[in-house]
Amino acid sequence: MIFDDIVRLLEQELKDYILGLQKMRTRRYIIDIKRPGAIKAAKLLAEKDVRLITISCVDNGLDFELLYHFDADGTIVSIRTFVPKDINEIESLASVLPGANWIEREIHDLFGLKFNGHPDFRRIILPYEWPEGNYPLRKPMEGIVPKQHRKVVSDLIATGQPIPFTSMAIKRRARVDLPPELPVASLREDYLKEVQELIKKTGFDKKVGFDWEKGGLKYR
Amino acid sequence: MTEYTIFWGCLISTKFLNIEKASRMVFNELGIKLNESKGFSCCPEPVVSKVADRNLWLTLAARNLSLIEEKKQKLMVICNGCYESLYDAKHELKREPELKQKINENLNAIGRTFQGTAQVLNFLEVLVKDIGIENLKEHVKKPLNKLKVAMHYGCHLYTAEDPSKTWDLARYFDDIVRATGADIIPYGCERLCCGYPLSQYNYNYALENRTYNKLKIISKCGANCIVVTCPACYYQLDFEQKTIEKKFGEKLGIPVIHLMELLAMAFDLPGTDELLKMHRTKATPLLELIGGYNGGTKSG
Repeated sequence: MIFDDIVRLLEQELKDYILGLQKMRTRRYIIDIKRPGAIKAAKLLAEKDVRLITISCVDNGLDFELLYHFDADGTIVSIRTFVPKDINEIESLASVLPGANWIEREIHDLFGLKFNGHPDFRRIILPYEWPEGNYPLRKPMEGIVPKQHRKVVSDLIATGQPIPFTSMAIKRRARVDLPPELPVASLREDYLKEVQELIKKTGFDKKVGFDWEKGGLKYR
Repeated sequence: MTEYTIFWGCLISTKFLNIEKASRMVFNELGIKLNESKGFSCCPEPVVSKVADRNLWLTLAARNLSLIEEKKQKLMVICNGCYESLYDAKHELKREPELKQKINENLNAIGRTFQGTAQVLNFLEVLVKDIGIENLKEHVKKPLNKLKVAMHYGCHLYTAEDPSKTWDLARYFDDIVRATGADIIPYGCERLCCGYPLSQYNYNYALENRTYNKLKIISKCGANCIVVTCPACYYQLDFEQKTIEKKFGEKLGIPVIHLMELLAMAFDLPGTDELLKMHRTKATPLLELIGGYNGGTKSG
């Protein structure tokens, strides 16, 4: 199966999952696919006898980048997807593609990423005496924001200001005969909504790893 | 009565209320009406967010500017950091039409558009170009002739689209201080950064090699106080001065005055003593130095 056939097949079967296609150089492509679609894509290719070369895992801090590398008649096509660390699991490919069996076990040993439905999930690469739950290539769960800037970035997203207009500030202002509140976005829900919509639109929340439910960064 | 929309910025409106209060007092005395605009967010601040994500920085700045464009009023910015952020964003978007289009696509999601028509003014420009030095001099009720000041200009003051105007704001700063009657004492490292931006990356290094160094030099130049125009510089030189005294075991005790407070002193406005009481490094002795404080009594 050549590359053009692969793209046609994926577009036909998994259109809603495909995020983009990048040509890295001659005969080298990366196809970004949403997590649930990535395994479906790999299975589709396996069914068409496209050879799985290997699977790579990269720890980006907040998530794992998984790349399923396929050889399509001399062209290397990588299906790329991201697994957030707070989810930390993805469906195994081993039951459909036996070649993925050992690779997934190795990734689990080194990164601690779980492959659900794996037929034989024993340790493969680390020594038997290696402590349980210690993954040598797994980084701490941290995003791109350096420690000293985390509060500033977190408050900027949560309140629209890096230095929030707290109740303490309101009291202090009243004490010195200043208008206690200013009509700023951090004190006006409708305007704050606008600011937060723009933050989402620019993808800044994802970039820094902001958890909207918790109202702060995913890491401290 | 001349009116401006005012942009205070987060630092001044939540932490350094003496600067906001002094500005309100001085502009009221000068007959300037300050209007609050609804919905301003962070400018966004130019040290962290500008570096972290240019797209976000420009989008939020363009949103703030779009609020002014709707009102068709001049924007006066009191904080130098906010001024740099808003001014730079406006001019970067004007220079790059494709970028402007991209940012407007973001803004369209919330029903706003950035046109680039807002007039962004630093408060020094308003004081010198709109109000005028002669007018300021007429309001000086208590000339600060006995006061020797060390000027700290701050990095953001050298923001200008036209390179020939890079020094304009710094010159305005000098002119305003001279209008109060205060004597400017040169000390040789006026342009040395206060250390605030660097402290966001390496706190101890910035404190020792920027703030402490600068304060040591100023303490030997014979000035009675440092005058600043930027709230971040104010924080670094005033608040962190106490930290430095503790850390390095050296008593410095140099009062740090914001320009608007200096004008309030020279105009002899009621409540000026309360402003100086809000400083971390004791600043009230300056009132005795200038010949007492009349509590606002217009002694002429």
